[in-house]
Amino acid sequence: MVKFYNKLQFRLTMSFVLLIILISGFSYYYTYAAAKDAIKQTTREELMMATNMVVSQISDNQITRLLTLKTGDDSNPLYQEQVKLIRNFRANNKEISNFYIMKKVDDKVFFILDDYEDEPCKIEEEYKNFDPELQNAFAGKTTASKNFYSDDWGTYLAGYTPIRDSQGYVIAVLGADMDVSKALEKQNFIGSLIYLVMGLAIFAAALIIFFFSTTIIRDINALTKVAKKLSEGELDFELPKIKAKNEIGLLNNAMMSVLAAVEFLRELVDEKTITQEETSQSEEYAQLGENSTLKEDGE
Amino acid sequence: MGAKLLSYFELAKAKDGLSAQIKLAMITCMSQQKAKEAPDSPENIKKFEDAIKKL
Repeated sequence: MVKFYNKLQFRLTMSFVLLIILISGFSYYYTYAAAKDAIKQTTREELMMATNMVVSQISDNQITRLLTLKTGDDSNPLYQEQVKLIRNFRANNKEISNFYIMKKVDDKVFFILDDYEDEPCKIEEEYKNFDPELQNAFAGKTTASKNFYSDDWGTYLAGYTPIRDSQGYVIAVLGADMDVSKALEKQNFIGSLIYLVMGLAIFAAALIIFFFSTTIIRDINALTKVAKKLSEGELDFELPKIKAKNEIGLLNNAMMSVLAAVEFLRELVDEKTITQEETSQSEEYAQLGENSTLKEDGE
Repeated sequence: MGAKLLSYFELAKAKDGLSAQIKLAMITCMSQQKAKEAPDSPENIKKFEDAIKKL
């Protein structure tokens, strides 16, 4: 009895399934990576667009006045007015969790405005562990985080646009944070979708391969039975009817030829044996007849 | 039934003896007994004719 894992059908099906998994795995890896990058890129562009739009609505004069505010000036009407204005922008862009404006003094970054409702950063509060891309914004470039970054408030993807004075010098940077869970949700959805499609494709392919191999293996099994019977010396059996016009069909024809030759020889031997037996029997009878004649003559 | 087919085995024997008979059985996939039992249909006769030509 052949163990199931040695059976041709099992091996054939498994080989194909493994091959499909391997190819799908690579496809998944590259597709998912590409989708991830595309989502990140789209999110970055959305963030940069949002910060650009807000900055275009803020005058350098307002920012210059904001820069004069000190710690504890959070209730100042100017500050409150700016916060309200920025919150209005945020209301139209639900994916952004908050906007903030920062200034740079030497190598340190300080908040000058934060529109976050729940415990916002205070004026002149230092921003430690900031995103490295922020440096590029202070250098005058609208940019966004290359990767998700974590700070004291969570994990985000952020966009930054420099705010310039009338001379064109960067006096502050407007930042917008997007909660990473939004981007991750999109990524996970695409990942799950690819997984699902891949799983269904593998299942369908395995079924097709299984049924396809069943037809091949059925013919091979029939021939194996014939070969086994022949090896056991059995000759009286019907050959399977294999209609396949492939190599298995050819093998079946060859088997039929060999069987016909063996049958022919067996018939020949049987015929000769019968003839020999008949000859020796008639010789015996003849000898017996001769003996009885001699006996009678002697008497 | 099969008398004509059986005669091809005699023909093969006359042509090249036992080995030709074995070859004939192999090409037609029929032993003498089977040839005897098979009908002398045009299809079978053609099969034997072709086989004889190959010997």
